[in-house]
Amino acid sequence: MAYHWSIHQLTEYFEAVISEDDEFVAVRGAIERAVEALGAEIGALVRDDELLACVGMGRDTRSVEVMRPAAQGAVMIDVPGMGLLHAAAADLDSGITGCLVLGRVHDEFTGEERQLLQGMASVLGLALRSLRTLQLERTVRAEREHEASERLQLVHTLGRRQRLLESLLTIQRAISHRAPSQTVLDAVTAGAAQLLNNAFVALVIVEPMEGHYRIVSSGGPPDGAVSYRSLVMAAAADSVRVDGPVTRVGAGAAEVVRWTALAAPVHIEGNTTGSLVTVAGFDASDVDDRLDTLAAFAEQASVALTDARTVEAMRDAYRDSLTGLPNRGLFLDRLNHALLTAARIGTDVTVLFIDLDRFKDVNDSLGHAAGDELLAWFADRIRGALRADDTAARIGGDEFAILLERTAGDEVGQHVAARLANALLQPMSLVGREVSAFASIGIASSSTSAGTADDLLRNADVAMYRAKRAGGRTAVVYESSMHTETIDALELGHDLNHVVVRGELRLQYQPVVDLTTGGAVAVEALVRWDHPTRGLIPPNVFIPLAERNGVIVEIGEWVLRQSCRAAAAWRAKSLPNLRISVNVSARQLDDPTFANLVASVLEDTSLPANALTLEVTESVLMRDPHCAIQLLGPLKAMGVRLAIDDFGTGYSSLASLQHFPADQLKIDKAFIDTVEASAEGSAIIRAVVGLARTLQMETVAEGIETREQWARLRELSCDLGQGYYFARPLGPEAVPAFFAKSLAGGLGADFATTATARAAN
Amino acid sequence: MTVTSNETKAATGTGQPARWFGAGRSTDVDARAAGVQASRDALAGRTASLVVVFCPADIDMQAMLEGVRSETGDVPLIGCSGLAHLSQTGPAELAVVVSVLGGDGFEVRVSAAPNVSAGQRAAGEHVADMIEELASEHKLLLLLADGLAGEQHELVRGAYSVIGATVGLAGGCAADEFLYEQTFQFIGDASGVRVLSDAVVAAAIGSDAPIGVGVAHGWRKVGKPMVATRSSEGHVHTLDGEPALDVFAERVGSTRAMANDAKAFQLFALKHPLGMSRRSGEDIRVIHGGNVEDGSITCLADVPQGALLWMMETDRAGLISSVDDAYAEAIDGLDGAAPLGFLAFECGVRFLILEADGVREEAARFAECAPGIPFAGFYTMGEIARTRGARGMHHLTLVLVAFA
Repeated sequence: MAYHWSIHQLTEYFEAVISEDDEFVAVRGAIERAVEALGAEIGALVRDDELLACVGMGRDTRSVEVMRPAAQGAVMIDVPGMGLLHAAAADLDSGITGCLVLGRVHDEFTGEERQLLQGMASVLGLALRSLRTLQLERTVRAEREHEASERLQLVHTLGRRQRLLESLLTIQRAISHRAPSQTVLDAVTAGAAQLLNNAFVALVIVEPMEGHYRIVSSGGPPDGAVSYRSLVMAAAADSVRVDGPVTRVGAGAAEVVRWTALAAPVHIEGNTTGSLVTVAGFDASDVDDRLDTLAAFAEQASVALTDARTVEAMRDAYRDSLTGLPNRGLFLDRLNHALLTAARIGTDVTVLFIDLDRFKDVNDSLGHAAGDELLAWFADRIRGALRADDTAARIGGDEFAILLERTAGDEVGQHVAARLANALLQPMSLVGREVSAFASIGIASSSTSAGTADDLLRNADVAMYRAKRAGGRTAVVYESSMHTETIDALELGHDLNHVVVRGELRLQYQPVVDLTTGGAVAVEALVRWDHPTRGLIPPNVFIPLAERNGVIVEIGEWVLRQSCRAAAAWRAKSLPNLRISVNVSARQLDDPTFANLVASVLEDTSLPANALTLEVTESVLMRDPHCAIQLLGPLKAMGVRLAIDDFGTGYSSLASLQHFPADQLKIDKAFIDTVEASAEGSAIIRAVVGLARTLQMETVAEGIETREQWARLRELSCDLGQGYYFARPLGPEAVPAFFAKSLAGGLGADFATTATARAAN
Repeated sequence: MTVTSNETKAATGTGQPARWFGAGRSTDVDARAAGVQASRDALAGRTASLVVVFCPADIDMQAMLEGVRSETGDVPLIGCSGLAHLSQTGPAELAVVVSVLGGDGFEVRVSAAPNVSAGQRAAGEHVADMIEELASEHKLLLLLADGLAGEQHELVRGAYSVIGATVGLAGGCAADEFLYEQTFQFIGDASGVRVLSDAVVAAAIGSDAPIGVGVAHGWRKVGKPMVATRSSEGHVHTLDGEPALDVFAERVGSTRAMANDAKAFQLFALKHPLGMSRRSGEDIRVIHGGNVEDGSITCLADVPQGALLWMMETDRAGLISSVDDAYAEAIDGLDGAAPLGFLAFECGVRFLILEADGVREEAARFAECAPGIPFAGFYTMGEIARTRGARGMHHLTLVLVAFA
């Protein structure tokens, strides 16, 4: 476990500040210890226009003017004789007005140091508040001092105060060790029980939502929570209602012995949120004494609870709750600091921007809970790939970043990226199935991309997009030319808005053949963008852009209409059995009028519904299977055929698959690639084909590139196939010729030749 | 006998040195003669602005100081007793070491506060007050305090509260020969010289050139950390909830009984101090007693309840390397000016650990760093140096003050 110097400073600080009796001495001591702990030269407590105390300015009478800007948020202050100092400030709380301000010559204050200062300011506020309470008590006591019994009482009180301080130290240590909340609360009740001669003590908290009372921790006899439950709850309720100490007499569970319950309210950030209750058979003379102790302890329990809550709140503000990693804000803060240090000592800073490949598919297919599980797992893998001093953060969604300090160039960044890729090779179990995660990584180093923390992170992001565009599962080092490409992408996005109106879209058609005969039976329509200045742009470049800016709906309609028109024309001329497949995006599917659009296109083009196959990717279907079934139902009713595209990539459950009214299962190219190389690849295809048969679906193998693949798929009884082996996407003019050739046995003869040759071997 | 001095010429071209620094040492067994000799060597015929004297605790102080004053006249003087003494000719246990500052470029005030143990903070504030009388651009408050007068952090905090961050702060705590019986501080002005105990003496030094301060310790943490679960000032009752002596004994492979022989325990514990976690590194605490009855340990300075502590270790190379670090930091404070001379305040425990060979090696290392530059110092029971931040009290360190 790593021990950082700052955590324990707060314990020491608490001890030093709380033990002072005089307010001025407490304040001065608090400033001195804050200044020393944080290596600052000067410090002060500022209230409005008044300087309550100052350290490090000697007897300079201009101290107020110097320190005030820091209290008002300035990050640098100009100190006579010292020049510009880094400043940090934190308001006192606990109802005490004032701002603890520090000035330091060397090094700006880090986030952690500011957090420590805030903790110190909170402690000082609490100390001052309890000091004022104590002074009030002393005044009252002074009036009674002539009574000998009261003097005796004071002796007892002082003894108890010492024991109280010791108990408090235990609690504070639990907090400063970042102990779980329950450990802190248990330290509170155990300490109080011990102080009250092992009486039963319970900390009762009002549940904020439900409004009922709950014992969150107890000390003393373990059976107390059962024996005194009703009495404890009643006393707690009384104490919360009057917001002050109460005494309540009641019967125990046995209804024989009468007990006395004492309760004192507990506050969190000033609000009455519960009560510290003790129960025992007190004799009457002892009650006031115990109530005083309990009240003092309850007050300090509030301190512990408030502090714990503050720490949690501070952690929440800078940490991602799912992964526990720093968030974007904290990451940028650390990056800023790292850049300053690097500039001073002449080293580089490297940032890795990491995006999980196809995370959306997991989220869509397996649900958000599984997505969250994957992110947490991924965060663990990242942690495992880092050096002790590196910082990993979740920047948002499925995006992570890593900060590597004291690097030289981007070499270390590449090593870390390789280590991370290696760590990802181990698949994880997600919702009962084995899932592999891959990442696209962008690397930017301050050696090649100077600028601010934001610039460096953005550059790494740009490089990550390049990795993503290269197909993912890779790392790319940022180069300044990439910026130009980003700007290009923006311009492309702009041009895309007019793509349909300007008639810049083109359709190509990839033939789908019967694997048994080699004869073509259908074509899949594929869209291309013929950009006036950039030439032909492939769909993997512009379709993601179109999906992001919504133009995909317009493009989708155009593709559907043109494809159906072309298919109808070919069928009318010479290919009466030709079928056409058209891809449908998630956006189109979300449109409730989509079925009407399809009906209208079929009517306009006179294409029979059963000649049209609409392809929907598995991941889109799995986003919300129930909704998808509702949307596809009307299309199916029209007679339109439906295909599940990219099958095998979307983590769909076999159970949900049977509910889709699909006619075709298109097996992703990734599986086809392995069909020859491994027995496992063949086994998967065989299983999918078997499944499809059971569900009465046709199977289509995507991306067939060799004769051997074709042969093997045929052996595995796959029905149809497409891929470069048969034909690259064809212009509309080439489609009839290809069909004619294939139907004449051109492709089949080729296959027969291969099969014969194999048999001969 | 040794004579060394160094000086810088005034920019006015008068030929008179604007600032100079001299140091002399004598091991003469006659205290008066030693005072005369060391002062004469340091002065080399010049008139000083400030005389700083270090000597063993068991010599005839009055006679030694009479000897010094017979040479220096009634110029401001401060000094104290130490475990052993440092000068450019090497360390010596029984030596009188005199260093002198002079020239128009220096202005000096001296002051003392008695009964320090009754009010450390007030004493620190009192002796720091005179800093306001100085008009020079560069200022340093040199403190020599009684090392047996309890917690000196408050003394230093008191002084810092008056002088602030624009004035340098350095010095050391007077020692005896590890007898922990009595130490001595001296102050001299036109009205004469006084020998005090339980006091702090101080010199406010103004200069028209920068004054650099460096501090380094050369120790490293070892083993797992511990929390001081119950402590009061320097008295540590429990570590991690267990009797502190038991925890300490276990860490060094022994038992509580190791403290039965108090003297042997003290010598052993000197070499196994505790380090407190601080932003700038570790703040070291010397253990100088163990109570077999209640299992507590006593440190020479405060260990706050709740402090996170480590056992510390070092070796000869580690300690000697701190010369380089302290020297570099002190020189850095001169803003490029050449050093005229140094004052050195080195923890007495380092003297014990280094032993005769190591101490010579350390002196040789310093001579390599600053060839021909005079220096004078003593082995202390606590060192004072504020470089960065506000903390000024240290233990087990080497502090160097460089004058330009």
